[in-house]
Amino acid sequence: MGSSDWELVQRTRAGDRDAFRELVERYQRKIAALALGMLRNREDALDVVQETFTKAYESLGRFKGDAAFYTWVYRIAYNLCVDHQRRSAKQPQMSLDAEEPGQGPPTVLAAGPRPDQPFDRARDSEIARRVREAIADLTPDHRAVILLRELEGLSYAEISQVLECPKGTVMSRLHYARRQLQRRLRELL
Amino acid sequence: MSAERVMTCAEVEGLLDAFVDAELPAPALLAVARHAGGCEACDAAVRELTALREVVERSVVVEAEALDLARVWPVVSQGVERHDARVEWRRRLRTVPAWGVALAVAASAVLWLRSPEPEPARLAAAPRRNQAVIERIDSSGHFELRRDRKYGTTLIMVSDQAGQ
Amino acid sequence: MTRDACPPMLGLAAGALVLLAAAHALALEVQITTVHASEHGPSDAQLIDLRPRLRRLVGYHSFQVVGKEQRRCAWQTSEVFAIPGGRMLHVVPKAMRDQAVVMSVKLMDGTRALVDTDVRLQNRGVMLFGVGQDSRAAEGALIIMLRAED
Repeated sequence: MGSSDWELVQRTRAGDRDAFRELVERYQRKIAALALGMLRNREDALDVVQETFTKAYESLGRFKGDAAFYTWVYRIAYNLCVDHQRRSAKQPQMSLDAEEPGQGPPTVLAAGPRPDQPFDRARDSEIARRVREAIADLTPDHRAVILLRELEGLSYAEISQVLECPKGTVMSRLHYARRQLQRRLRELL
Repeated sequence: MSAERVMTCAEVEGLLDAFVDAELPAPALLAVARHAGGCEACDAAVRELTALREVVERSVVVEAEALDLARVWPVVSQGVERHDARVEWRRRLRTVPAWGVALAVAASAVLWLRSPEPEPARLAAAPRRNQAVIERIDSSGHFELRRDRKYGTTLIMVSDQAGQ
Repeated sequence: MTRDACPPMLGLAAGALVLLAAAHALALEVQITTVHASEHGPSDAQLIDLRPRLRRLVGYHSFQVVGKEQRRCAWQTSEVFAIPGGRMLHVVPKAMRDQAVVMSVKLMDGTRALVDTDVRLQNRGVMLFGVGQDSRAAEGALIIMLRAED
C-alpha cells in the first residue's frame, strides 16, 4: 500500500519532488475527467490539469489538511475551469483562415435500441456523444455537480467543499441536473 | 422517520437521489428500499437513476481515458522548478549584499548575450489552400519558413539576435 | 444656401462620393495583430481556438495579444506599422493576382531588415511572422499576424 496523500504532502513540503510527482500521477486522470467534462475541449482540459497541479504546488503551504487533498485539488481545478469558461465566453475568436475548412466529427447514425443488447459497440459512440452533448448543455454549476458525483463519486459533503456551497444547494442542483439529463436521454436509459 | 411506517410515493420521490447516492441515514435508506421493493413506479425510477449514472460514467470516462497525460508532469515540473527558483531567489536577496546582486545580474546578461549555433533553414512543404506563397525572401540573420500541415498557414520565423 | 447654388453643391457632393469610392477601391485593408508567445501563463481568450495551431507552428505554450492595428493601404504605397518592442513592419501592396494579394513586407529592427520578402497571400488570408531566438527562450517570442483583404 502506497503513502497516504497527507504523507506525500508533508514530504513535498520537505523538498521531495518525487512525492509531489506521485500526487500528480495519482489524481491527474480524475482532474482531466472533470476538466474535460466541464470544458469539452481536450487542449483546455490538459491546460487545466497542468495549471491545477502547478497552482497546488505553489499553494501547498496553505493546505492545512482539514479537507482531503483530492477535494482541495478538485476545488482548484473547478475554479480554473470556471475562469476558462468566462474568458472564452467574453471574447469572439480570432481566425487565421480566409475560409474555415470543413470540420466537425463524422456523423454516426445508429439503429434503434435493442433491449437485449443495450450497449453494443456500434451504438456506444452515438450514446456517448449524446450524453456528452446533454451534459455540455447544462449550466456550469449543474455540470460540475453531475461530474463530481457520477464521475468522481464524491459525497454531497465533499462536493459542497469543492464548490464552496451548502450541501442543500448541492442536492437541489443534482436533482435538477439529473432530471434534465433524464429528459434528454430517456430513450437511452 | 420510523422504519416501520410505510412511505408514500411522494415522500420517496424527494429522497430518490440521496437513496441512489447512499447519502440517507440507515433507517430512511431501509424505508425507501422497502417501498421501492413493492412499488413498480418507484422501482423503475431508481433503476433509471442508476442507469443514468452508468451511462454518464461510461461516456465521460472513456473520453478522459483517451487523453494523453504524458506531458502533464514535465510541464508541472517546470512550474515547480520556477516556483522553487523564485522562492530561493527571494530568500537569497534578503541575505546577499547589493554588490553581490549586481555581479549576478551582470553575469546573467553575459550568458544571455551568447548566441547558439545557427540551424539550417527548413524547407516548406508544397503549397496548399490558405497559405502564402513566398516569391522572394532575404534576411539579415537566420530565418525559417514553416507551414502548418493541416491548414497550410505560413510562418516566417526570424532570429532577433544581431550578427546571425 | 441659395437655389442657384444647389446644383453645383450637389455636383460637388456627388463628385466627392465618387472620389471616395474610387479611393476605397484603390486600397487594401491590412490588419496587423501582434501576439506575445511564452512558455507559461494563460492565453488570451480570443486566441483559444487558434492555440493548437499556433503551438504547432511556433512551439510555445500560451499566447497574449499585445497590439492590434487595422488600416487601408493604398496600392504601390508603403505603410509602416509599429510593432511592440520598437520594430517596424513595412507593407507595400502591389497587385491582386488570381484572388491573391501580391505585396512586399519588410520587418525592420532599427536599420536592420530582419526579413524582406515578396509574398502572394490569399485574399482575406493570414500569414505569420515570428521574431525570437533560435531556440525557445524563457522570454518567449513575438508573432505578427498579417491579414490582407481587397
